[in-house]
Amino acid sequence: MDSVTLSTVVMVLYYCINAFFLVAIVAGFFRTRNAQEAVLYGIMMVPFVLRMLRLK
Amino acid sequence: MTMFHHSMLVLLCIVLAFGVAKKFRLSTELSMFAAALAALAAHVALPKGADPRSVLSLPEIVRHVVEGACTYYDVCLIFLTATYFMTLYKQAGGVAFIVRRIVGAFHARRFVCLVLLTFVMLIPGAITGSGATTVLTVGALVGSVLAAMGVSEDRRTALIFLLAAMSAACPPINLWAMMAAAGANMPYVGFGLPLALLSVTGALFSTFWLAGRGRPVELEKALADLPEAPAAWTWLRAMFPFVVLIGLTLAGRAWPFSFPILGLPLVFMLSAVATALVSPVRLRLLEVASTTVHNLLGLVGIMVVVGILNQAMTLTGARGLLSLAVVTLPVTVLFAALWIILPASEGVLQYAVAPLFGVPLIMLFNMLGLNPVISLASWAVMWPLGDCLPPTAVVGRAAVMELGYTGDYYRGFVRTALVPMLVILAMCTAVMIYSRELGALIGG
Amino acid sequence: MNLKFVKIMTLLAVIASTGVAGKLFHEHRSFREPVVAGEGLSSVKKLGDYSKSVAGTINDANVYIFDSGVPGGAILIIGGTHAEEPAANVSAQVFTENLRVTQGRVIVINRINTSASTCTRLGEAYPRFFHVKTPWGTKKWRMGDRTANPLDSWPDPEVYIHYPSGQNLAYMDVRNLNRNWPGRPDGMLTERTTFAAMELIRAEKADLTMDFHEAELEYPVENTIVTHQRGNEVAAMTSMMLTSQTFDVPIGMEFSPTALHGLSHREIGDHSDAVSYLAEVAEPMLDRIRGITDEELLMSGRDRFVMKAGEHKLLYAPIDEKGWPADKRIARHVTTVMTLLQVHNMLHPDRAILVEGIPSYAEMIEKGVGAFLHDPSAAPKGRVFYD
Repeated sequence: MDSVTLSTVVMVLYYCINAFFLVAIVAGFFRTRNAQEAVLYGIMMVPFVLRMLRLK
Repeated sequence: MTMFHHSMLVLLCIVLAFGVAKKFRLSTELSMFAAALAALAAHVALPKGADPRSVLSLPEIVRHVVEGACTYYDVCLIFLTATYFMTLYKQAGGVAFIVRRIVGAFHARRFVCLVLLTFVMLIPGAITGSGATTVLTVGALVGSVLAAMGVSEDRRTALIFLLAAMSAACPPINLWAMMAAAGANMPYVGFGLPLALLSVTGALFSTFWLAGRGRPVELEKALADLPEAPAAWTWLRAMFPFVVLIGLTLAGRAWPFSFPILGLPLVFMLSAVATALVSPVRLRLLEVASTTVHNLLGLVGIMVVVGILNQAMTLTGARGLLSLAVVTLPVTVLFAALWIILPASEGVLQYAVAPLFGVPLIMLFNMLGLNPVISLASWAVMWPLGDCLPPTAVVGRAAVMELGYTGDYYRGFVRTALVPMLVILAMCTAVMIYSRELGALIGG
Repeated sequence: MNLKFVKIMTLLAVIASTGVAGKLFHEHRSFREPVVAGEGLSSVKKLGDYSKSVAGTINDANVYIFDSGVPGGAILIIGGTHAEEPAANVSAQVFTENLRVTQGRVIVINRINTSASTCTRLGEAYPRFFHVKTPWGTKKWRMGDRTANPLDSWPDPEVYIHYPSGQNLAYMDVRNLNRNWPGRPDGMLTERTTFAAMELIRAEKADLTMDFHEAELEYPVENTIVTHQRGNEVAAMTSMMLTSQTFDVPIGMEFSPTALHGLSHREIGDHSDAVSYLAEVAEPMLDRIRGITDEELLMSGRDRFVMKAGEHKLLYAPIDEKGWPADKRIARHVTTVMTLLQVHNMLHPDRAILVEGIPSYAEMIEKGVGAFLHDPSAAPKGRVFYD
């Protein structure tokens, strides 16, 4: 595999890492019993959602 | 009303909104978020001075909030992956195994043990540039050994924080120096020696000040107090994930033009996979991810919110006003005040302070004929000490979390850390003042 | 407060804010900048035509070639190295839209790091676009970042090690085009981009290159031409001529430091036969001590906080109520190249490059740069390109 393809594979793996933690954040949002924590989970979600959608 | 008044009032609104939100018992993270929104509202409502200004629409304001939230995305990903790796390692029993072995081998040699622990703490931050990563990877492990050596809860939490701060300052990677140097178009060259001298001295002083004295370790009792490790653990298994971690990180340095750029988050995730492979117990990978995110909610949350606040302050001129205020101070006042200004600003804005204050200060010091490399190195050791200060207190909070600290944050932990902190700050201030002479001496 | 209510409201706020901001981010990233190429255009190539390493990527930039057909020298004009410095790409575009070459060749890249122009710099609160008034309406460009978009180059290393010098730089500099020269064909996106540009310089046998930049007033390398040591004479004479005859604020000249790697003025000269130059002009919006950040500041270059720093003698360029308007910054860059060519032609008549159609400094200051940018809707289709 040439190094440019390898870099692309690494980038794909990063989207997987992003998705993995986004799922955990969303799960935390629905699981929490604390209103303030829920809001913070919501704010924390934003960069992960935007990266997943390749918008930021 | 001038732009100076405008930005000053925005700053006032930030402080007021933070205070009011705290009064209503909102968490620090949400209070800072409220302060950022208040800054944006004040910016829209207040006159902006004599010069014409562009129209700022509501969607653009929303864009600034969201863009700000993305500022520290990369740092957040490092925090999450590093903690995920170490949480898996801990659950697999690896931490318990290593701590028991270290206590068993070094219980009679306190000095050697402390020097060893200091370097174990310095390595993760030195190669990643992040104090939080140090705490999240080896903090709990070293904390457990310190507990077994009879170091009190206050002292060991303070020490873990101080060593983490010094590890972040330690070369080769010092993010503050790198960011400020990049902003000032200076090569990141010549920083190694001054950073190493300051950070290693600071780390060793902290270690021996806080943990140097103590009763000899009673091996039987210490081992009985420590958690048991699964019998299948061996040194080979225990080291494998760390070999992956260090191997992949160093491979990128040793063969930079043939080894692919993996980045720290992927390296931590691969180390997590290595942990899962060698673990003698079955690990619940998804559940650990949820626990990790929950444990890091405050830490990652504050980084996201600080990004929003920083963007709001930049948009409104409040950030520029602070920066201008610092660089227009008389030099003697600057010398006398930087040891407070730098850690305090780190507590508010995190890494954003490096380009914010660092770049104008480099230009100023250059103009004054001081050595910019040595000076920046001294600031870059002072900045991380602010990571236990409010409102963000990222590394301090990480230390408290990892060590399960039960005492009072300020009267216990921060107070205990105060003496070594002041000594390090004094040492850095002296280095800054005599930067020209030291530069000539060590070639910085 | 009811937990369920809080969660629903939070979710709605997250969806609404990411939706609104996402739409704006998308609009910014996908906006295409029209370029009406001048009558003298011979061909438009792609950077990828010179090296496959960048073909098909976002940085496969347009390369505008103006060939007189008369033997002479060749110059490469580079805009958009740092997409947060808009005078750079607009200056390049003034050449693309007006140039006629009567001897030698002129090659222009308006946006060498297109990726960097598809996002704004995090934490700097930049506007997404900037506009220039023209006689036929308003022309719009993307405002950008100093470094390539992480969507195109992810992840960054913990420390960026420059090829081939091995010099350590901050991690984000792996996406900073002016730390990646001379590049390599199998590196990250910006390294591949500079490698392709080096291939272009070698293939087209460029005699000289000019890389446009802007700098904060606190930065010592300001209002100056930075030159590779081989450009000593040309740069010195250019600086003297411009300072004595044309510019109100002098333009200096300095040598490219040999210890600082990855910069165009060092590496292009070291790795090709071309003599490399870089021009800097003052842009107050890049100063960390600036006040309110908006398009008005970007285009007028007027800032009271920066003026205050000037009163404290903390700046390397003068600033007053008039600021540093974009017209002036662009006019300085364009005129610097024109004078540089004049001097080059004088010293190297066998490799002369003669050009026409470019407005003078006085014309650009008087009429505004917009007067020299053309209406894409009124232009013949074959001459409209998108960067």
